[in-house]
Amino acid sequence: MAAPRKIAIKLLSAVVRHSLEESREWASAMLEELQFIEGDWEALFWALGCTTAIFRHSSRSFWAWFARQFGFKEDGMNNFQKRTAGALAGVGLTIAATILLMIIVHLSDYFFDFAGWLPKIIITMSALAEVLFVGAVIALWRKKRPMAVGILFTAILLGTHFAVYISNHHLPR
Amino acid sequence: MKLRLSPQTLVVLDTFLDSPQDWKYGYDISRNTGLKSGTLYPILMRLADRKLLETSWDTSESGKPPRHLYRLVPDGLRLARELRVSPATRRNGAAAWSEG
Repeated sequence: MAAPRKIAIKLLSAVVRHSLEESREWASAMLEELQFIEGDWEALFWALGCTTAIFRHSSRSFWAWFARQFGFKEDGMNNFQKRTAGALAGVGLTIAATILLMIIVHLSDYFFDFAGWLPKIIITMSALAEVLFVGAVIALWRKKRPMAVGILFTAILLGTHFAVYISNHHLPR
Repeated sequence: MKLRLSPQTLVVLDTFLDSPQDWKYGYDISRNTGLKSGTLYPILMRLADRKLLETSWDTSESGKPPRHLYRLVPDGLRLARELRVSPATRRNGAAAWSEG
């Protein structure tokens, strides 16, 4: 069996295994259909397309579940709900970016041994992150204000926390 | 809930009208319409979610793997016919038709 077809089968098999219950029958259908496609590359592209289709279907199912849990209408959100979702997305993005940054700094310290430089590097990276967040707020303010507010709120909160942490642990008293 | 009637969805609906009573395979629909799997399957899923399309498994041929089959239900056929006979509706598809 050619490599592209092998990859296609493995990919769709993984999709079948990991897809949500609601999408599994479709994923199985796509996997079975693969065996009737003659070209190996065509099979691979078929599998890639199917994977994105299942991902979108699963995302919709997850959103429907989320909407049910929090009392949103499944066919859309009102203005308040949209704003809340936007602000929460902003908060989530900011926290995720901060965690990513912390992981990068600590991994860098592990590999390069910054010794006494670590606090300075952390401060520099945090300042960069704050600049990044402020830039995102400015860029999103007109078109996606709730998300911008979420980012701004979280950036201020994290920045304050960080300033307090640095002053307590790394500055001479 | 609104069904997004994109040009691709209309093409798929049209394909089912060629032989409304026959079950169709996903890959055959893809070849007939020229739609890639990443476009075709979300359309089929949406139609099935809206109860416009029924699905089944073909296990008739021994030694061959089962295949998923698709066919429009009467509501789906009615919608497909409405859109086929009315180009104006087709142009305004998304806005013109919504389910319950």
